[in-house]
Amino acid sequence: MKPRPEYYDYTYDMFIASIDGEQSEASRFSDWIDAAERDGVYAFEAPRLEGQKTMVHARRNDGTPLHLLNFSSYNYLGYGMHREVIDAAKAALDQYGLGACSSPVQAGTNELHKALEQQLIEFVGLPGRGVSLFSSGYAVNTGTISALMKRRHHIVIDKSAHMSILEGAQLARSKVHYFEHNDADHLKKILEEIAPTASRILVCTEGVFSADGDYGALDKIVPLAKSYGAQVLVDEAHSFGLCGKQGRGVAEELGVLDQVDYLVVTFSKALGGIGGAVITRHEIARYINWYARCRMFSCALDPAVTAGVTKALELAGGSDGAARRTRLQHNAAVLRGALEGHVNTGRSRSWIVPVIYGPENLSIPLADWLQRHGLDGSVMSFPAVPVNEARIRLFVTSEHDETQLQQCADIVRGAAVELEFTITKKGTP
Amino acid sequence: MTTALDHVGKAKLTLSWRVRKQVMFLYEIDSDAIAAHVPPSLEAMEVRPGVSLIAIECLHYYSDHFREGYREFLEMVLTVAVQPDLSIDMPVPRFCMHAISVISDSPEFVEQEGHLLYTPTELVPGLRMEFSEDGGGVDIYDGTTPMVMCRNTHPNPPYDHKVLWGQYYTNTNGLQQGIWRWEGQMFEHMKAGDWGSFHPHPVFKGIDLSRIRGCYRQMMAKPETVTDVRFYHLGLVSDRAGSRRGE
Repeated sequence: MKPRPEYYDYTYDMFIASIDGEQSEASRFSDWIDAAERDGVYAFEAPRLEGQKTMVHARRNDGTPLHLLNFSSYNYLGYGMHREVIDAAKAALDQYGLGACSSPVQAGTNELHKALEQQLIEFVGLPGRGVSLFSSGYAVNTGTISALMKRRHHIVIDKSAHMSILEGAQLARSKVHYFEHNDADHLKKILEEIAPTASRILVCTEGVFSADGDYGALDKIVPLAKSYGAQVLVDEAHSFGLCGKQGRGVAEELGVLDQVDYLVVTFSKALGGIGGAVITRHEIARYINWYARCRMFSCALDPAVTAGVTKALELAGGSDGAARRTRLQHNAAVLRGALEGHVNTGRSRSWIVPVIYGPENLSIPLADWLQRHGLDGSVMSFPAVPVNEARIRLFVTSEHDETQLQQCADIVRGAAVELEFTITKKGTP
Repeated sequence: MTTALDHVGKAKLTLSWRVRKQVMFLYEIDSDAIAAHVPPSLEAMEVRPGVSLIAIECLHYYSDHFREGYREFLEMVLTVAVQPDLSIDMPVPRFCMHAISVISDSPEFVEQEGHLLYTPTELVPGLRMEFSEDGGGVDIYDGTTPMVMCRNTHPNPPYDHKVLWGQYYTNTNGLQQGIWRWEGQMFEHMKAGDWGSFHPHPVFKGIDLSRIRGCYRQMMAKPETVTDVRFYHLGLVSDRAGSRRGE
């Protein structure tokens, strides 16, 4: 058997830093990608030739044309390609121009932003709350957390939380604690230890966790945190617009929405655009508007996207959104059903369906294999997920049809046989 | 770069070992609790903001090292994970560790490691290791006094042949650096569970054990196979930095 190339065993963390003065981490990382490209197995960063539909034309880096089943875009409800959404964006482009061209606290705010804020409040059903808009979902967490939390405060974070929450805590320079994923008992221990002397505590978790597709245990974590006087931030990036009776997210589904102090939503998933917001008490939203540095010192959300996501939100709040959510849930169940028993889908209960294949050294050949067989699925390795728990992450949308779901499952199952990660293989994580 | 077992780039083989049993557990610790053990020209690796890693590595060596008929012996290494130097002419290192303390029950080993690699190695005649049957865990004692209990949290380690490269730093005679190469059957994982415990012992002097936040990662060699470990000492960091600057 041909020995696997050395670079198959490399992982992202190995290039994070170097102590020398020559930026060797950049040259070594570049060498890694060059080696994979030379061998014709580099499948990442293949440019798409059209929008995020369920089938997409793309081009491999060597120029080979591709027509792929698209399971790697989080355009969950398809609004990123919806005619009415695009028309709304086009109209705003004509009226307001390309960019906001100013900070939101200066000249960057326009009427479209105010309309989006109002629409968000109505959608989540929390009258009296305020909204702070950001031009990226990532910035919502870094900006909000660093604006509100300072050095002598405590931030308690689920260990599986998104990097934007971690970076927000780092910017805040607060004392940071981590609780085991979804483990309310561990969180309780930490809160018992810090609550007697802490002047301010923020507990951060998520609605749906993006690597595993599982729900945050908000029904346990939110009341527990509140009982210790902590405030709670819930990032609903992968769940806002997608679950709960009104589509408000996991906090709604689990009955704790009104207890969440900072509801973080993004516009790049269910709404198909870009940007995000935090929904919180009115005076705090106003404060964040001015003291979140990445908002204050950055350009406001662009007009076309603002109008587009406002339209998408309008649709998501009506019968169209309800129908799409029903299809999304159905499609996710269909895909999980077609995969379960053949490959390890972990603890997913959502539209994010992981297929855990294990060793990192399969990532490069697997991504290549999937692409060559017509499937675009995100491959995730350590350190984004635990070592030896590398996975394909499949994003299901309401727009996939039954045939596409079955084709996706067939390709993944074929890969599992070919690269030996079927669930029956001894030792598969 | 040319690599063979007797050299890596321009670095010549300094030491090689045959290991019978080996585990390495990495633990999360508050970065400020370990900062004093990291020399100023190095920087601790953080796996999350404010969280660094220390490692306990346990090795049970085969006989016949030093001279024919020499007994099997043990080593326990306490290190902190630091950022590597990727300018060194070698395969990309998986880990880079700075040695805080090393103990062994072999006087010959203590002398040789200290002399050739400048490790902070001390003789602990009562060092005792009880490896679990699957080789994935070990209980470490000094005589009858427990030091560290390393418990494997994976139910069924699927071992695979691997070659790993890494770097080490020692600071007993100026800041020294070198390369290590590891080859054998191994498995690593990050499964949650009862990972064991630390107990007060002079080897942990200066480290507040209460600041250890949990086990981050467990690595284990398949027991009773031959693991090949090699060291290629480079010398003082300042000399290498100087030669890069053309001094």
